[in-house]
Amino acid sequence: MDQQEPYFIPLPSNNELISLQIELDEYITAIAWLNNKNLAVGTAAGTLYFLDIETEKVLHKIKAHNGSVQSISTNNHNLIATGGQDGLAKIFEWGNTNPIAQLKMNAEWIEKVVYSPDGLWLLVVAGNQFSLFKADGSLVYNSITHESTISDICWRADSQQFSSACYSSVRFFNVNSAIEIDTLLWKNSMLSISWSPNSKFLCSGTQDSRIHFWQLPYKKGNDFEMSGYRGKVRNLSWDSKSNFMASNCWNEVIVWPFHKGKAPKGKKPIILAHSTERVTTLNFQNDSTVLAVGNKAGVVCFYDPTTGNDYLAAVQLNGEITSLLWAPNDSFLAVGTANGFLYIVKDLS
Amino acid sequence: MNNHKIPVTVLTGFLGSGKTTLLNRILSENHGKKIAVIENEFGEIGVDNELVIGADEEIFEMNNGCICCTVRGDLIRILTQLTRRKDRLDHIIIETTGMANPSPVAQTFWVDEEMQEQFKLDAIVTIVDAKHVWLHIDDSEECKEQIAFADVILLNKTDLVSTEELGLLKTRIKRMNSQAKIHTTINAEINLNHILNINAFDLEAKVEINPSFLEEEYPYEWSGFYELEKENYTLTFDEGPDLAMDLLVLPLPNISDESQLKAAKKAIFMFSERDDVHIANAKNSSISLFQKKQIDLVNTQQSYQLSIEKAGFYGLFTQHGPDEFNMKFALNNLQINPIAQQEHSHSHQHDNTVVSVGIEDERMLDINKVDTWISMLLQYKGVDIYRMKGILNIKNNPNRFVFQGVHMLFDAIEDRPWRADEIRRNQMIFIGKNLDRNEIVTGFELCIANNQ
Repeated sequence: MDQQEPYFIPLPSNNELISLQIELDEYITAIAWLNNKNLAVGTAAGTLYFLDIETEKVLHKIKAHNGSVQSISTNNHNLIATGGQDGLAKIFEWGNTNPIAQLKMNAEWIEKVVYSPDGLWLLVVAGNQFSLFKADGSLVYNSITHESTISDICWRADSQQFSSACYSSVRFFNVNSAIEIDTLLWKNSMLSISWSPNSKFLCSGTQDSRIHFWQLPYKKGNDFEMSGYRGKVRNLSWDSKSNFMASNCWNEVIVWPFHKGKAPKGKKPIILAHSTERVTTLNFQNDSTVLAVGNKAGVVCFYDPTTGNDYLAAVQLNGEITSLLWAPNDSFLAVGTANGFLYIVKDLS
Repeated sequence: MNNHKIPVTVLTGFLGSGKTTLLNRILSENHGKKIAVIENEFGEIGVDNELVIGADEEIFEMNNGCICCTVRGDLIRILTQLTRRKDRLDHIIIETTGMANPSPVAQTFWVDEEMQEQFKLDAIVTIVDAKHVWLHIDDSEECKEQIAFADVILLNKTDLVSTEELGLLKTRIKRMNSQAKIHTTINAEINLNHILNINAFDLEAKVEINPSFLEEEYPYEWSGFYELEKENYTLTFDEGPDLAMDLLVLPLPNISDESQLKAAKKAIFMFSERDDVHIANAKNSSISLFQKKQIDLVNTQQSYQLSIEKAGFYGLFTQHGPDEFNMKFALNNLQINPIAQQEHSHSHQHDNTVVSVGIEDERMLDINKVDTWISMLLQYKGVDIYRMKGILNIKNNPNRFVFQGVHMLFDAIEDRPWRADEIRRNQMIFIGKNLDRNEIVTGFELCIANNQ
């Protein structure tokens, strides 16, 4: 990757975009939309909130876990899965404060819970194993023990396959068998993995200041990497058409073009203009190329890499941005901060 | 590093040395601090506390396996999670496994930018079982590394050893790591102020180098101090276990302790001169002042002449003990005995023994030369240098220059001005294995600024 200095400009604050601000009990660790008006929010106090943004009310406040809520996922219908620092994953039905399932995993902390895109399957990651459940929490299978902690797991768009990453390998599984379909060895510390929506690429961000792509279905030599990042790469996000993949290291936001299904080898990335503050999270809209980027100083910037590297709007919020997620129809962005504030920000249009 | 970062203490030590006892003590003591403990085997700690987290040692190699870029992936993950809360932790303690090399833990706080932003490595504390450490100290690399890396060493279970045994252990440990502060404990009972908030890695805090480190580090084994007349003296040697040895004679203004110490320091540097300086006159059977002489110990009963031009006090420094070669120092066949003599442990090692190599010198240095030297040294010896620390006297600079490092990772800053009441002097310490004092001193000598 060519190093080029991003330019910095003062940030105007488009705070008229903020439609709702609610203070919760602790650092916000996870957000998940159930539909376009209801969302679940987890905090470091182990609390799970059910919120309705139309009535602007907290519907339920549930002590879900001892220790922090680590991860939340919904099946986009009526189920909310949570994972906590108590080694438990729980499944709640919307509106019900008692979990319908409580899943004990063989590790102290649950690292991630994630429903499949079709909402029929649930993956729970804890330590160096994952378990696959049906949506309601009935066990399908437990995985093999990976060589190290599973750092990330992600679904393919068709909900039939998924991939796990740990130090030095990526494994591919399908929902019908605990036996892996394939293992790709690559000696590096992968922090995150992400399938492109068109299922043609699996991308990994690493501790070692680079990203690695595998073109799928994989043939030998069909992988490549982009180095030159100034630090580790934790966040990855694809636009819905698989034309762009956004990533960041420290204060830089780097967007790789994947036009016409081609890998960006030899192409220059788009480096978005950002402040000097460390970027903490980023996410493309579900159905457009608008990218939201949150940083340590509590600023969320909006970009569209199809129109250049300048930001479209920015809002100043209270506390480091810890999570941000677009509603299914992209009408709102839910943003959580380290100071415990949840914001609902309107779409730019 | 600044103050809002959470300090992290790394606790190392062999299984059974008392780490868990110490951790239980820390967690149950009423200190009012919010301390999180990352322990290597979850469940050992008896205190019920939600901030006790188990960790599996996961070593991440980066940068194609470069040793200084090896970090602990599990710690990065856990520490990141520990910062996800509104109330700030006061301190974090990381317990390592008994067989752990501490460097990947330490390096985690240098290599990872998020770790650097939020945490500061406070100190490496090593607990040593005073009775059983002898089982490991000679053979276990991990045991040596844990001692070598330490900023603080707790000699625990001292109730199980005699005063003499404890003294021997202290001497041994000081040779390996002359900079660590040593405390003796029973049942790991220690004032927490001695192990927490040490600021050992903080260059902006007070950087101190133990001035006694040179006492631990002599390139010769014996020194004798004589009062000599203007005469021709002879030195004779029998065959010994070595083929040759170095010898040096220096004049002293008087026989005071201070003069002996000054001469000793001078001798240390002269012993460290390049060998080609004296090889040229090795065949010559005369000994000159200020010139290191290589004595041939194969041709037995060889005698060497020492001509003293001016009566006074002189120090004789020999690489090996004189008894090994039946050395005789005589005038007209009458043996002369020294007024004072000292035996020193010989630490000019070329094996894998862990040692501290210290340098103390008042001459001003050229910063560009220092930069080149340290870069070269770390490139070639970084794997073997576990810890290093230094205060430098740089020419044309009113400020002290301080540095410290772990393997090839290196921090340096311009520090406070030299005070009027202190002597501007360089002090450096390198702790590691396979360290060649001559090589380090030769490199240092090349950094001396011109025109002084």
